[in-house]
Amino acid sequence: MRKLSAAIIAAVSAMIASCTPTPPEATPTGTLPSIYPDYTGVTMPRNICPPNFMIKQECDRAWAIVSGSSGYSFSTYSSNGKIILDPKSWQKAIEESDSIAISIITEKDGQRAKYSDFAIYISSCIDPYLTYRRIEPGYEHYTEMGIYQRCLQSYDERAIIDNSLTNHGCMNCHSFCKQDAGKFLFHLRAEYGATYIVDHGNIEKLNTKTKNAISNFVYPYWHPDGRYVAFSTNNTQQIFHACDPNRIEVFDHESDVVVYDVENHKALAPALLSSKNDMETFPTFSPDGKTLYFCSARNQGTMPDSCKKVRYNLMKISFEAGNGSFGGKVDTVINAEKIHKSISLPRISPDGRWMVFVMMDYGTFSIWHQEADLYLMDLATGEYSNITTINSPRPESYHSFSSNGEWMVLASRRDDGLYTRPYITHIDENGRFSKPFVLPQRDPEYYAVCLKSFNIPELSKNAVEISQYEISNAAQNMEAINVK
Amino acid sequence: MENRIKAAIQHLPWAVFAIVAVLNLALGKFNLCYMEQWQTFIYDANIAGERIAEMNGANYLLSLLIIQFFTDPYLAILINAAVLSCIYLLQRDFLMRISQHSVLISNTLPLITVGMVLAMQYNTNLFYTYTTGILMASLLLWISSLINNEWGRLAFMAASTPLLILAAGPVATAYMAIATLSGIRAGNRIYYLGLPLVFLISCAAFIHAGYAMNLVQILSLRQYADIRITPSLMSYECLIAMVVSAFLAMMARKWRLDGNAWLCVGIVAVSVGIGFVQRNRNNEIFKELNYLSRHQQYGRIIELCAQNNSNVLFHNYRNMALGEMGLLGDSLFSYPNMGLASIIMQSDKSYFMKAMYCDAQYAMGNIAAAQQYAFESLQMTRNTSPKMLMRLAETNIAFGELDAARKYLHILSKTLAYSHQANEMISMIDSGQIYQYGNLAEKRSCMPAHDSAMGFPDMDKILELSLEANPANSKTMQYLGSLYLLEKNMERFRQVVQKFYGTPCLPKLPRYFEEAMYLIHSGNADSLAKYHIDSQMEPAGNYKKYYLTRLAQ
Repeated sequence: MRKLSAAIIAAVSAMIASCTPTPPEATPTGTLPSIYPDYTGVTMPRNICPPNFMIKQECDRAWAIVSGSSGYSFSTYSSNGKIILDPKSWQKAIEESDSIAISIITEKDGQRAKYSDFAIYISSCIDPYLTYRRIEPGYEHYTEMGIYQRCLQSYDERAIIDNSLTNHGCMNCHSFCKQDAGKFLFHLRAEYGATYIVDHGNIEKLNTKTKNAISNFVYPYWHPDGRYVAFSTNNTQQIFHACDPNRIEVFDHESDVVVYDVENHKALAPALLSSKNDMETFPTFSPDGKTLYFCSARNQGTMPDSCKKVRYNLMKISFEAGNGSFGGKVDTVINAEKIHKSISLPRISPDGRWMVFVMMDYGTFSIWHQEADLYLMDLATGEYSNITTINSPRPESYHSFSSNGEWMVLASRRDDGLYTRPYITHIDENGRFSKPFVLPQRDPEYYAVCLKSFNIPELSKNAVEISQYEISNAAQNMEAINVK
Repeated sequence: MENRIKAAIQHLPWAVFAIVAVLNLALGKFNLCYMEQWQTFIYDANIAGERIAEMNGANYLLSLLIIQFFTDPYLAILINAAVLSCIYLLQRDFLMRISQHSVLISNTLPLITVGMVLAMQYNTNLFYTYTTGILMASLLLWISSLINNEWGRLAFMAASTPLLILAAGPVATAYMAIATLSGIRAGNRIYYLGLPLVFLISCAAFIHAGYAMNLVQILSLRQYADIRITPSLMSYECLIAMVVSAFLAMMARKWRLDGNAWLCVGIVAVSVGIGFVQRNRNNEIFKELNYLSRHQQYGRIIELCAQNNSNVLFHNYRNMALGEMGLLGDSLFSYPNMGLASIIMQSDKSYFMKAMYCDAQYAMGNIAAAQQYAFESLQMTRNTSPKMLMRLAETNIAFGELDAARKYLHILSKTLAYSHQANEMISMIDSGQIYQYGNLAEKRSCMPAHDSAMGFPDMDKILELSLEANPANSKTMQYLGSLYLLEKNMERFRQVVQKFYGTPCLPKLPRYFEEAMYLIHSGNADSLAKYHIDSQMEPAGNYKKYYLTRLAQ
């Protein structure tokens, strides 16, 4: 049905494009147009779909002239302020260009205005698929949610699993092994509660609550060789603020980190990662698989009274994949507590050069923290700094790298402070990030009416092979393997 | 007799329209209005496109298209009568063909379906999709009756069965059963297995394509209800009635049913009777209270609730009306109360109770809690509740989160009934004058100066913080004092009265605050004098009675 409607819209767009009036002459304003989403001055991958946008200035008609640096140009016309770019022309314009100049002309009450051109810079290709969980930025109950995969070269989206197929249970924490969608995992909660590991078509359903564990497996990260997955186990609660702009606080009463051995169905839980006095969470393997990074905070006592005192440091421990053993000591990478900050979600670029993490005033669940920003650490020098080019006054949180390390997607609430959107940014070899842009949609008004958040944006090199039916079938009929 | 009935039957469609309208009025005229506050049509291709791609999506959108006009109770009744009359006419024409023009039976049998749909609209918490689903199935049956070629009809039914499964879900079962019976009656043997096979193959294909998790989900009327509700077996009676009606119509000639005028009179009587059966009259009163609360007719709410004390929900509505009128301290114990739940019930998982909780919290000035429950109620109604969208806009404005408020208003601006109000509010946000709109300045002033973790047991703490931030907020003060009085927490009551007495929120003690302070300080002339309470006063004693009764329990 979705493909059919896409085809109809494409046909109608093509018809409209064929009768597009030629852009007229107009008086230059000398200012940039105000557009939503803001694509001015951003860097985009060469394989991205057209970034359709709306002109914020009131107008009766509008024209956009798109000119590639290679010389190819095309124009489009709009009678409602929405600029919908023809996908084929867009592809032609960007395929050999380093940059695109977009010129906007508007007409209001017979008066025409030509705005200054804005540029979109074109760089290398990005992994063509983006997977996210779409859900209301919820409180305690939920109704509709799902994990979806979007093709970045087009606007096509498919459900990996929608909760209408799992009796409306919760689902979360999808994670790919080295951006390979053939090998991934996610959790289902409630009626079909289990961790599901999908390995090139084979599904394994796991009961991950072991005897001594705090909880089922929660936040995952794959070891690069695919044999292990590091998870946190958390006793989590959320509370509501009476008048704080953060609205909600999610915190742990206790948490540990374990490493799951995929082949032997066994959880490795070293004492150094399950201290009674500390809370360990958000594990991440280095790309060479020899180091396990995680966040750790001192347990401050009764929660939620002391939740504003809880601050997580960035830690690391060595790991030997051959025999699944850990180093004898934990090292502190950043003592965030000392500077009255808290760290979450460390992620390392595939070349092992950079680490990006979230830093906020306190706590662990950054998406509800208005002050949460992304920081970049040079792993060679240990220096880190705020990535001002990609942060906003509102929360920036979950982020993931592309397989070539040149792109990063991040979850941001910069639009309205409440609904999370996936933004994409380019990183150059010196660790400089470009101005991020929101994932383009066919209808540029999409985000303005969408009352769901895009959580855990994860890039992948390929599409998920398995169907919703197979996952739903496994959830309903498969026996879970008990993790030892 | 028979001829007279046949002549009278000519006017039956009009009679159906009139009777449905009268029954709607008699059974509860606010029922359809009540539906509207949870669902409305949003004129946006993204939202509609997402819905139409789901099983039962087209039916859901059709129901929203109709529901958007249910803002006025009388208009809603007229539209509903027209929809049910359409179902009647479509089914009548179809039955006429399959009964080989047995006029009496074809005119009367569809009345049973109409009666049952009407009854279901009142009794089972089903959305309007139940009605529109039957409308869609009736329309397809009617179209099939226009096709004279037997193979052409078979092709149409085979094609429309999967379409109906996708567009309207479980009603397709009845459609397939009726189509099969009519084909068999026409003597075409392929129908014996043909359509059931098409049905099952289609279901399997839809399950494989990810439209449903299993066959039970496709057949279940749960698709027509809030996902937390499992519809009773009774809800299926209408689908069964459709099939039985079709069967009787087919057998009309053979069994000489058409000549039996008394049978037809009996069917009419049963149909009206079914439509009139009410299983829970109380629901309709709450729908009326809800409507009155939405339109701020607080005096009428107090009147209605004064006659009904059987349920704390009545107390909730009454006390909310008293609170909004600033009369809580003076009138709370003039009526029966049953503890804290008489002001605010702890919310359950239903969207309507969450909305009720949200209303009470908003009235007392606990904006963050009102926002939380508005949010939960909205997402449980698939983000189509205009009431909750507006409440979220209001609470976000009260918070000062204008970008989030603008988002909810932008969605409301895409509705038929609320676009004007939403656009007006958006332009006031843009011009910086939004706090001059309605009571938004008052609600903004309720925001506490300091943060605190929020939960049901902490409600009083939040209200106290709110009063500290805005000592002129007398409504919040009355709520705070009333919460303690209902809980019989005399010490905390004494403390807050002592803290705020003489400030703008409590310049003098309302009647029941005075009674309670008299109870606390009885015999202590100095303390009574401090609060200007006559030490010789003999209070009317309503609070004393409540206090003692509760203690005795």
